[in-house]
Amino acid sequence: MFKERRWNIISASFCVGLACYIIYLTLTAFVEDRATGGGPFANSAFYPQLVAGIIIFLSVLLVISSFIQKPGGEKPPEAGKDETLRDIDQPEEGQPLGNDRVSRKFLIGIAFILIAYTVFLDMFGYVVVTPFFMALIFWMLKIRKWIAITLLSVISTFVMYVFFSSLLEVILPPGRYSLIWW
Amino acid sequence: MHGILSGGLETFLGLQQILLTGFGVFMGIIIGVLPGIGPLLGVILFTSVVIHISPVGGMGLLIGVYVGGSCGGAISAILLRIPGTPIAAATLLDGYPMAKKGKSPEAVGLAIVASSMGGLLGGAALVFVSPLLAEIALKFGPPEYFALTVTGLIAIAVVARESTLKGLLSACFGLIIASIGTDPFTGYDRFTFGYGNMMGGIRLVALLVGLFAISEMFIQIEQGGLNIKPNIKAFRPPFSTVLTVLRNFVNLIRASAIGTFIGALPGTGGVASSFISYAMAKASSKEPEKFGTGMPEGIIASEAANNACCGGALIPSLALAIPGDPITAVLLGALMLIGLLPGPELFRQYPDIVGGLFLAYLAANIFLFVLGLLFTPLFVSILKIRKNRLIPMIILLSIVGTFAVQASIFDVWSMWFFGLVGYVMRKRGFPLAPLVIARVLGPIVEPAFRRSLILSGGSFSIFVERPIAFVILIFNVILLIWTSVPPDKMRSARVALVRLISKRSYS
Repeated sequence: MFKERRWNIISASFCVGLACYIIYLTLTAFVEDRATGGGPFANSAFYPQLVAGIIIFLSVLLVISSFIQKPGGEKPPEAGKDETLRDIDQPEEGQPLGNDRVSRKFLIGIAFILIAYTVFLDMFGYVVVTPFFMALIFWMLKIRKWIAITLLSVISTFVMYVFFSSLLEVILPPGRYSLIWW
Repeated sequence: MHGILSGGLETFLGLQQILLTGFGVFMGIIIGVLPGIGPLLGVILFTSVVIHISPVGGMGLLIGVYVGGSCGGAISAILLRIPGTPIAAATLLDGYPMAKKGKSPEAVGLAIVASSMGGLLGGAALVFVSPLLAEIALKFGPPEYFALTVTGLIAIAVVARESTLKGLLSACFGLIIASIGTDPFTGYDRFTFGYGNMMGGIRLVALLVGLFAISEMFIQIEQGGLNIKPNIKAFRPPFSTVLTVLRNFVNLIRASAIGTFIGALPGTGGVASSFISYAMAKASSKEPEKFGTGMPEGIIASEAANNACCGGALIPSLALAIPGDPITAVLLGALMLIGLLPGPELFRQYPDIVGGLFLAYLAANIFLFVLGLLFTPLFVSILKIRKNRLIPMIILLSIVGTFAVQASIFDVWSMWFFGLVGYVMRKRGFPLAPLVIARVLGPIVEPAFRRSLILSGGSFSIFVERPIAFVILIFNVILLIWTSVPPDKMRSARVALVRLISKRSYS
């Protein structure tokens, strides 16, 4: 309960901060560029200001509501004996198939690989970078057979290339430092 | 309506459009079968493809994914007791017990046939009702239209299961994101910070893929179970399931009517319709005590309702540009991507395309029947795919698909940013659906709002003086009060309603 309240306050503070920044921009940059004068037609700032104001109002309400909420009020009610009622209350949504949850560090590691892929994709192009990236991700996700990793990486890169490049005629990233053979 | 359909025949009856719709259904079933993916993610992943093909073909593809995905979840619900999509949750109540009795082929067959027939009945409602609704909406001015779009935004807060306040906050951020880029009235670049890439605003595909696909993949990785392979044998459903569904004609019609009606109400969606239809089928059955033990009527009711819901959800989406759920919001976004503004004007300016969309929806349900029954062994085998093979491929499709829209690496970076935002929002209980719907409705809400103020010379009184706008806005206030009721109280009201229906069945 207290943890939830703490997160609500953090979220609301973030929302208020963002809304204040939007209002600040409309009062500075917009004014300098003369985008705030005139009536509803010429005033580019009024609508974002209005929405930012609503965000501040809702954020304050969120903080207040998290203080007046009854302790334990957020817990789901006990499931009834009737199976129909139980399932109406708690539809089973994407249950995990196993209980081997991964650590946050692991997730951050995956995120870093994805960011690195985007950087290298821009530098060296789709065809060169993607098979290595796919192989790395497959390995990170606990596939340990090298034949499977190689086949899956090459085939997925190729299928995606054919689908987008040949069928939809989209030019996939060629890379800024395109290699000689590409 | 006749003109719309005959125009639709011209735009839809082509090999490309028909094949794309069929391909969409096929991919939709596969996507629906896989737990945790679902039709929303499927439609999002294919949105980037739409701009590269003909409007009706592209939308046919997305509608196919929507229809197929809405049914595919039933297969994993029946065989694994894990609904591939939340809307299939009611199907497992009788589907799984039926499978445990060794009647998996019958259960899956019933789900496919009932979905297809329910979808066709929902499609009939779409064809008949939406042109009438669009005709009425054509008489609306900017104030009425503003009030109507606000209704769409507030209504989506109803589906914010976590918290109405968080849902509304999420919607406001969607409106702010929609305002990024060139002001449609003055041409001034708002919140672009001098980046040329942001002048056109945040690209819808980057936003959608980031918020839904990337955050979902991270949550799937976090949940674990990466290397588990369910042990299921492939089978083919018997054709007799068609006769079983036809024998339950009343149940089918009732469930389809409920699904269509609930689907047409913004913010309610397939989960509610399938459970209400299930409860109604149980209430009107001669053997209600057998429900939950593997009754075909239960599967028919829930599946017919959740696919009829698709047709229902498309009615306000196409006719009024008010999406009933996040999937129809993405469909509207896709229409905007190809340069078509949904709403009554679409019916007036492009009746042939609207007709094409109607026919694509009807054809998708026919494809669902044919492909669903024909390729069941393949769809069942799909369940054996391990998450650690699937997740990297979805991530790759997300990256390439996002890049493909504008050939822009900036969009891929935006996608990562919104992936992080989506992940944090989901973890902290902020629903994503209102943000997406607001992002889609934003380019309609702001012009309607500012045009109204231009008409009134800057006075807000125009929203009170125009009777239709005033009534709609009052309705919004009531809706807000209703959604402010704590979820546990709302839940007890729902439970009381179902108990009432159940009691009626025993009396």
